[in-house]
Amino acid sequence: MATALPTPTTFSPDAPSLSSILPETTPGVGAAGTSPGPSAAGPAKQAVVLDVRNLKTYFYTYDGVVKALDGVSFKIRRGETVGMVGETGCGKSVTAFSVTRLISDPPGRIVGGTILYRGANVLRGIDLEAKFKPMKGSNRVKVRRSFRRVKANQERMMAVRGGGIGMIFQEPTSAMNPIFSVSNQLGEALLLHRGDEIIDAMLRATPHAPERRAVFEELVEAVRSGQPTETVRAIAKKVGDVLHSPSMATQAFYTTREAIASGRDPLPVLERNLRRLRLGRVQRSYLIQQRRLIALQNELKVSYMQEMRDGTFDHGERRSIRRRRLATRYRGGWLQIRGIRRHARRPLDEETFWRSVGLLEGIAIANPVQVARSYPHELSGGMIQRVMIAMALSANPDILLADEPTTALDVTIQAQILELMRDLKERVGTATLFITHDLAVIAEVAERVCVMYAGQVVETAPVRDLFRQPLHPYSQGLLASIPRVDQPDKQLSSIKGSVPNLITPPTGCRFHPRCAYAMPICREQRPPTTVEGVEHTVACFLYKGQVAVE
Amino acid sequence: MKDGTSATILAARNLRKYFPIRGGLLSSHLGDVRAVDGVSFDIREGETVGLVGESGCGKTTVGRLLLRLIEPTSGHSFYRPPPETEERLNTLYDTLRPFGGGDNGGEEPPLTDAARKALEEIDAIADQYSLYRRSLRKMRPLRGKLQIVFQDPFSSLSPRQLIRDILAEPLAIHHVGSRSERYRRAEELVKDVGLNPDHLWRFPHEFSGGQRQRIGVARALALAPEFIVLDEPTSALDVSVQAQVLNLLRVLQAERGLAYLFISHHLSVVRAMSQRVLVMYLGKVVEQARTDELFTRPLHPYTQALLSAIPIPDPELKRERILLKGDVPSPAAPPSGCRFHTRCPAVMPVCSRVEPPFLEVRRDHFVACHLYPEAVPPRGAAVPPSDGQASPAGGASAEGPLVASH
Amino acid sequence: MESTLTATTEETTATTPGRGRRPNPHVAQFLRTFYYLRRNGLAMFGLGVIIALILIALYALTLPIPTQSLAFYCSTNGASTCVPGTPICTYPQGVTAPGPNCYQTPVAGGVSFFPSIIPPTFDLSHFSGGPLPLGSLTIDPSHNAFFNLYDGMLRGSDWSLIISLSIVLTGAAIGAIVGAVAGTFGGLIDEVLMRLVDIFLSIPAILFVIVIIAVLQVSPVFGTFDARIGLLVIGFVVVWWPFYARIVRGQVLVVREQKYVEAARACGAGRGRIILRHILPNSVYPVFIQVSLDVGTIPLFVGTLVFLGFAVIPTSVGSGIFPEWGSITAVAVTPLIGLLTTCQFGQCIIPWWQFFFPGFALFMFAISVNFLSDGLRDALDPRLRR
Repeated sequence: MATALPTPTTFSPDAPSLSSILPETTPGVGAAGTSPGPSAAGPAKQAVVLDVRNLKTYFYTYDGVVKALDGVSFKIRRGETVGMVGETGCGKSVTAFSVTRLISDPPGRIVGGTILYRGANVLRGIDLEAKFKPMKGSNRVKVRRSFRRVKANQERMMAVRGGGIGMIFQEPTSAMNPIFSVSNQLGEALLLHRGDEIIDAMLRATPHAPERRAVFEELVEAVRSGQPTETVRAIAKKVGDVLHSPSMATQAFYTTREAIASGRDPLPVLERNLRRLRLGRVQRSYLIQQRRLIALQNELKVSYMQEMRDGTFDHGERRSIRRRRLATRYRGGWLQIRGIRRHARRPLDEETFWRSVGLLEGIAIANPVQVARSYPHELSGGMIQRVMIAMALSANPDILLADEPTTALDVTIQAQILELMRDLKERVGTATLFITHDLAVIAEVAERVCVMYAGQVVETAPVRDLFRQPLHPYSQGLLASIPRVDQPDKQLSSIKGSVPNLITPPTGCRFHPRCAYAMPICREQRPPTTVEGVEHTVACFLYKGQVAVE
Repeated sequence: MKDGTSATILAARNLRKYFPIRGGLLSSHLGDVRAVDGVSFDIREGETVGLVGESGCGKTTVGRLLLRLIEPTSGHSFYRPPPETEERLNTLYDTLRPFGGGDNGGEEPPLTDAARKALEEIDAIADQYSLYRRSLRKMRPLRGKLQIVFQDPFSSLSPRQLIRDILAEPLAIHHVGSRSERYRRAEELVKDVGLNPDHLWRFPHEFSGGQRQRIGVARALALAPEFIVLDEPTSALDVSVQAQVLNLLRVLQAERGLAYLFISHHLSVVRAMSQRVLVMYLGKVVEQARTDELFTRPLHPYTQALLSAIPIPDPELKRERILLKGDVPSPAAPPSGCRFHTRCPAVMPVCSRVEPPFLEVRRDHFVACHLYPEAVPPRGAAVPPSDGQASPAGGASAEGPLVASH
Repeated sequence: MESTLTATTEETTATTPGRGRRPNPHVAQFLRTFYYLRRNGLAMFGLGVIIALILIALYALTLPIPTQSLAFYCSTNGASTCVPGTPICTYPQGVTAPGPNCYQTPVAGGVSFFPSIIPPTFDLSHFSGGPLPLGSLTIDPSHNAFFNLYDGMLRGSDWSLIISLSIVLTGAAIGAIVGAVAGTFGGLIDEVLMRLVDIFLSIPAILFVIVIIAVLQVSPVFGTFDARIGLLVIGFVVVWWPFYARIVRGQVLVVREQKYVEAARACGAGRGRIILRHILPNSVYPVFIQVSLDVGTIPLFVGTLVFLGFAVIPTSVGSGIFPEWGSITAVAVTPLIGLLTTCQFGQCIIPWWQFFFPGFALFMFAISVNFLSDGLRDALDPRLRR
């Protein structure tokens, strides 16, 4: 598996996505660029994709207000991998969920700060969603929520989620819906974010191209004569080009191999495959209707993004979009009659099936057709996590939020997944926020690291600097307490005390009760974030550098 | 008393545990999940043995078998056999080696008379010393000596009991002391693990994971055990808390001379804690050595892949990673021959046909791999059953090891 | 930063407000649940109603049992007072009072019946057992017994609570034991017991009780009043226990796999100890919820039964009267049919209060139990985990 991975059919920097429709905040960068290697000299001057400033997320529980995040700030640039490290309860997962506004409301709420995704304010409208009233005699707060506004804001977030910010979660075995097959779920994701491209390809396909005979025979010959996989793939790609359908390339590749392996004649099989490209009138109208709906949805997303950026939006435009959407649905209503719908949808389903097989190829799964057909409970955790990564990346997002993706997996599977993520990063160049509690994994994947403690970022540094010279006492403590395979005699020191209660956190610096270097000022004031080196910031009174400017 | 002077607490030989798979209309027996398939090792006083492997390899089952929390399908576990008996057992098992240990029936060449007598003698010794032959009544006093600490700090303590009750319960079960004496002992235990006596009056859900784990350790200590199975004790804990718990365990071991079986899939932690390590894969032990030896000179390809997969917290260290292809096969249908051959980067044709024997390749370093065929088989360690081809095609000849005298 | 083993870890995540010397933690736990419950307005309302009901029931226990029937009354007070068309002016216990305590006995179609026609007032002056104007005389024509409505409602609270509690608790106990046994032992025992549960579940509840009562009520064994009540209870218990068995078994299966059970085994605990100390206490939580739900449902069933005519009231004269809410309602509604057919519009007053109040009482009882159990479930479940 460490050998060359197959050429991606669906992951490519040039694949259009919603985010590429939107203008940049900082000039100078095109589509998803390449990532700088870990040895980049000096700070990368790429555009900032995610800018989180002073984020505050509170949870209003019966026992009081849990101040889960209390002023978290960090930036992610295009193509870079930022690691977020901290122990349980420090708020790293909450950060990820806050960025995509997936915090359960109630009991949680984002109460302050800014989140700018490519210049667009993700938290727009959040101040209007709720009113707070402190209750006497306890540390509780009464929250009155306007659910109408909450719902409206959630609708706006669909412009950002998936296509702009993708996410993969911690427990792979419970991340997929058990009643739908893998190809079904991958297809759903594909249609949602790249449906226009897919349907366009289907409508443009030329199943009757006369040159196909020759290419088919070439393919069959290549497989029969046992040519190396790369060659066969190249020929299959030619098939796809001839027929103007990239998914046909995948289908031809696998069906030919399967036919020859089971001793049947592959040529009629290939001809039969073409049936799905020959669209009847009903099917064509269905596809056109779906295409129109997707286009309208995209228009809506653009409008939402614009609203988040400028604060303005055109009521009339939105109304017109919605009206057109309703009209399209109404006019296409006859397609929803069950029997007709099933017939009309079949080519689309098959297309998405083969596209999902292509996706699975892209993440180096050995037998993608079988995996695509199977259900989540038939797959191992590592496999599901790979599928989830494929799903997240299929939308070609700018940022991938990975919330402890390998914590639940075995060491060897973890190694496979990390290798995969590294490879994808080089190929596709998506920026990643990698959240974990395992410092060793951070050392492998991240370029920059944020260390979190009790809802605050205590240190941010390039990964080498952090390991070589950790500044904050908490980072030092963490590094001193992990056992290392290559240093068997290392004394495991631990940090005394335990994680504080976030309802009544310590005053001043939240780490001071456990800090060996605590000074009186630490109890009184919260330390400002100061710059101590190239891209290296700390929040500690031990250091007297220049206060970091937001 | 093979090396050094510590006595053997438990000598496990040829432990097997198969879980039957039932299915179909009449719940017929479809097959077996071979969770543990022929595992043998010794636990000595004061020593920490590490048991590593990935999920599904059977290490948790081994821990439970050693404590007789589940009954083995076959195999013995001898409790504190005197040194002479141990020697005798080793000799007997040696004679049984070409017959596949004689314990799993039907797949090896028919037993000779000598082999049959050896089996009978082992049986007799087992009647006296084997853990599994004891009546449940005679097991009870042993329960205190052989204890376990679980992985999940959240479900290992009964949510409706106060801590003092949880800690006093082992004593109550064995009718040790009066009620107030037991509570006093609970107080001592709580202090031993570094918690406040005030904590006795609380419920488990009021504590953090690390503290709960300490309470679990305190409970295990209640009856003054000599051996504790630590089943992934720190896997659910944060790093800094993990260090606290590990240090606690080390201190306790130094103070009380406890023996540990440290089961984990975190190799760095295992290296820090153990003196000897066993590596398991799909129910079998594939490598066994002293810790330093295993980590510096791993022989089995699986061990090598495992070690190379561990992420190291040093971003400057560049390593060549051995990546295994595919996923772990299901223990219900293990691959033929060497179970690792489907994923092994060094696979040879013989690997899919013949199961490799467990041999001592270097001093006190045992491997089961066809890459190391010429070696002296270990004394008394069990040999995995050969699958039909009793005379291994490309490996250790049956004659050689027996002829070489010890 | 070396680790220290002495007591450094004071910071627990405990939020229990337990201050002072050793407060009993179990009590603290209970109080905490109560604090959570207070947030739920409906549950508090339900709790209030139930407490009030319990108090009323306790008071009702102190009331003497009226023992006289109309026939007896008539016989002791002279036949002239019981002729239809003449007023009846006495409460059965012989208290005479003028005014509102005399009731006309109308005649319609030659059928003599004695519906009450005086609407309720709220004069509570005759509190000590005399005729109270809140109700008026309610007469049960089929059995020649009558009692004051207010009185009947008071005693009805008594009966409703006793019957529903005994049914539910017995059913829960039996079901819990069966479920626990099936769950802990598994295998064949589990299969057999669960099939037994299935058999009993397939019996339609009301029909079964009807059949039992109908068949057995003629038997002399069940002649006495208490025996009749017992029959009713037994009938319901037989149909009700399987629900609990199912619930408990499910929970036991979960608890059985928990690590603390295994830890107890590792310490050498015998099976009995494990079941009693570990499995059962952790498995009863869903039973508790179901019990609180059923306590509200059973009186409805009993009322239905009586309404359908399966009155448990024995035919022998002189035995105690059974003023259970359901039966009062039933008894009050039955003559309604006759009234409606024979009365001209505006001629008769339909004594709506006779069936409204007991029915309303039943409704309040059931719904407040429901609110309370909902609130309890919310208060207990997630918070207990923290």
